[in-house]
Amino acid sequence: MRRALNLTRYYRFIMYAIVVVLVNVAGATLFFRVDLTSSRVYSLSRASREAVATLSEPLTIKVFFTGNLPAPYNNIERYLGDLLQEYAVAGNRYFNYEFFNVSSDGDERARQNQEAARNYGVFPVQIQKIEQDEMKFQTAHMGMVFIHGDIIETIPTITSTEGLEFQVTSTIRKMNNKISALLSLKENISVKLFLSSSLEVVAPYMNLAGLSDLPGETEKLVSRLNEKNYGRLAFSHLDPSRDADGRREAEGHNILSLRWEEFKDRKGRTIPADSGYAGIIVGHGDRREEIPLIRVVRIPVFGTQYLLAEMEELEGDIENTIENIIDVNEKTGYLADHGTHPLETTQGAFGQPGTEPLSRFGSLLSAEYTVTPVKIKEEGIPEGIRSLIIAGPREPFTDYDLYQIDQFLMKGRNLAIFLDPFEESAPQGGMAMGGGPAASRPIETGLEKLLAHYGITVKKSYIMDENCFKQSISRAFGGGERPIYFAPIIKSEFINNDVPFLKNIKGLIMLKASPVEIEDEKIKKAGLKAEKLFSSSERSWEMAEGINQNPLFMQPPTQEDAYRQMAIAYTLEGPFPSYFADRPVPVKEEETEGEGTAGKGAADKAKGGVTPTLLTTAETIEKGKPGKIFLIGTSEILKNNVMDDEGRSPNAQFIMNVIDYANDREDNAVMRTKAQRFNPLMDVGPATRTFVKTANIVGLPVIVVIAGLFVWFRRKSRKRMVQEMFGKA
Amino acid sequence: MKNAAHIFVKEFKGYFISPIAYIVISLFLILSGWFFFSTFFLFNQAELRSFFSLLPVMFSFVIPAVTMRLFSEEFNTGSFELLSTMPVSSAEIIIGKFLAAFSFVVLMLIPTLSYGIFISFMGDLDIGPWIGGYAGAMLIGAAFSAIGLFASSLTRNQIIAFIVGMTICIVTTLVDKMLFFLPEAALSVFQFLGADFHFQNISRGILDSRDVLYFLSVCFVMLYLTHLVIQEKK
Repeated sequence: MRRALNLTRYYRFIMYAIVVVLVNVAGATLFFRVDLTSSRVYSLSRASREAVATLSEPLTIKVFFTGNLPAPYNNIERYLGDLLQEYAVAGNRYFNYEFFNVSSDGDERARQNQEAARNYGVFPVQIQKIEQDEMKFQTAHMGMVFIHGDIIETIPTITSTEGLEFQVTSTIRKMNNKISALLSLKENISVKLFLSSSLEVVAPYMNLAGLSDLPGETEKLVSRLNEKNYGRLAFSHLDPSRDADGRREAEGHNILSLRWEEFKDRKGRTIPADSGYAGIIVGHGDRREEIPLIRVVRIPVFGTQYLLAEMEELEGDIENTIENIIDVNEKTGYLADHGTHPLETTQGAFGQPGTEPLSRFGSLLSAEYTVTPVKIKEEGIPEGIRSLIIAGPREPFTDYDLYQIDQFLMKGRNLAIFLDPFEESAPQGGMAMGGGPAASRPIETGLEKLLAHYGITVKKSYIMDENCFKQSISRAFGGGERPIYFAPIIKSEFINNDVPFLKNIKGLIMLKASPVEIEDEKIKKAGLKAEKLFSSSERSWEMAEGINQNPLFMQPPTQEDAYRQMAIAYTLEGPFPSYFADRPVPVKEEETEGEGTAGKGAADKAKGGVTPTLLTTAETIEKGKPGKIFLIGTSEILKNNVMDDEGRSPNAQFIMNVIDYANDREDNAVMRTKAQRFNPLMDVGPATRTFVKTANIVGLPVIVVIAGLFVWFRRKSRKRMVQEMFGKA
Repeated sequence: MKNAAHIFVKEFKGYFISPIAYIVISLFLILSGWFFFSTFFLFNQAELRSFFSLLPVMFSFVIPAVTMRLFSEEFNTGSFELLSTMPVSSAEIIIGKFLAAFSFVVLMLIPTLSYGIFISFMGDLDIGPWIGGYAGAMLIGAAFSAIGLFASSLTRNQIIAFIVGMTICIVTTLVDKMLFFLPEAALSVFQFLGADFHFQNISRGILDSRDVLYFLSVCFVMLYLTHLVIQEKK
């Protein structure tokens, strides 16, 4: 009887144990997570949730992961599973994911999965494991494939959970953005061609052959684009010469208008004074963007030239503008002339390497954006890029170049400018040969006057800071540390974390940076908003004259009033006033005469003999749409010695966040840096450190011992009291 | 539950009658303080990660030392027979003793709050992982208290109780670090059994129902096993 009772107990325990196991198994699939971190590191960002909630076509993610991998790779699989489950919760019915076991145990299904992984471009990698007291290598698949319509994207190897959400969301966005955005539009995108029929009379004198065919050609072009854009484009042609509404609308937008005085044509007939409009407006909702049809260029000797847009060029411009309108444009411009740093290695003279390239920055940039090299001198700034990066220009900009940059900004586009104050040239023979320090020459590109007009300037000096990078000196040279004053360390308290794209950046390092200053009066008057991003410490000073960057010869100033905090980077936002608002449109300086359209124009002019006097209006946008400028007084921070390959350092993340900001993708920036773990302590002196250590290592146990002694004495005295009581009795 | 409360009060007070409690807490604070602060200023990061990563291993030694006497001493002195004759169920005895051990662990952790307080004056400490870390510490403390209690119920010798408890705790702590040596087929099972694996998730600032469920399951299974052992002894 008792034995049966005992057995029942054990049976009950076994039952309970089975229930516990089953509850845990069920809990592994039905679970909830609470993210306690302040930056929601382990929760999906808004950008990620939006990316999967707006899918309009099935997106399947296939994860090829070898099962039962040794640590730390096994954690990646769990993290990935959790992450994809969160995507599935946030996603709509089009989001699917599936895990495929690609183990190497010879199982038929596993072999099929391996084959599938290979076909998608997920190849095995070698990882280390310990087996029978020996270090061995194992091949493992750790990749994922995204399938969306006809598009296939692959992340071939995942070796870390860091930045995985960013990677997954970026891939989904890249594949799905345009399709989803187009299909979820409540109304069609209008493509309006404003072309006055009155222009046909003056077209031959402006070298604008084919102007009359333009409406038909454009309509064909839009219907061709409609096939790629799910039929969401609505074309219309308005003739402002005949249609009063069209005229009013054309006047409301910034469309090129041409006016001419009465003149006689080649046959002697009188052509009355008139005017006409030419341009395309792409719009949706309250957003409008203009595409010029005729470019006006003033060339010395040849005079004003009119260039009609080519159809291929127009196709690209319309496509890019549509992407801008629906917010899926991933094109960013990079200024590739005026002596800026190349993104890739270039060949110098005699096979020597050219200017130091920004290859790490370039590869990080091209991983997320389609980088369009912009050669202002030759081709101007193409339509449809949302931002232009200007990194360390060395050569002067002509007024016509500046005009293009100014007008680019007026169109509501953005600039990210990394401006160097000085150009350094190595001395003859080098320092080792007794050649003295490197010579520094102030750089004057002309961009400075444009920026000054907007109310922001980069000073011609370097910021030196006592709170800076310290270089370790080898024992052979005496040991210790040498401060590199021109490499200030930007502490967390001097970074403006209210700016969304700086939210989790808690420390940066600068290099040869210059102070950036703003003119409050000008900025206020223009209705702009300036935001200081970060500053040097209070123990910083300026080196403006006698530039010598040899750390051996650098000494902090002895006068206390030389020290002050200086701003290193700023952003300006708002409707910028054009530098060329009350100036004539600059003349384009042609390098080679008699080429291209200019030449044709000249020839035409020579044989035509008769030229109407044309006045163009609305050519210069005087007050822009809201745009952005990011300005920092150094391009050194883009170089390979500061940027890391993976883009995980605070500096690299800051730079990429700036590019996101310039491309109106701040949610991307927030997602990128939310897992940023760099969180340095404030500067504390040795005394504070000793106090903190002593208080916690020694102080706490001492308090416990004192408490113990107090209890012990109390007990002892109570014992004595009881003994005395009974002793008396 | 009134009886359980009485046992809890008696056991909890019992800790502080002898100097053992103060010695254990002091040792724990010296070790955790030393390991954490010896590298803290070198890493120069405003976070408590390295403190929380130490806790499971430290608890594997400290908690069995706290729980070893709970039943062993009773068996050794013969007071358990006296307890058995009283109108109190074995479940009440176990719950009372378990809560006493768990409360002692919580009390032991309270002084370490000063680490976070000091760090918050020196940098921008994220409160979430701090709260998560302590939540995880209490969960792993509860699980190890249950393990220690079970070990104590097995023997009348406190040293053996300590060794058995410590062995089980250290194995559950390190099992997910030893996956290298385990057969592939059982990897996911053994990983799930690892206490440190679940604790590290919570200490990073993610309160995951799977991890909470794991610790509660360990508590339940161990306390039930203790109940079976006590029933046998009765």
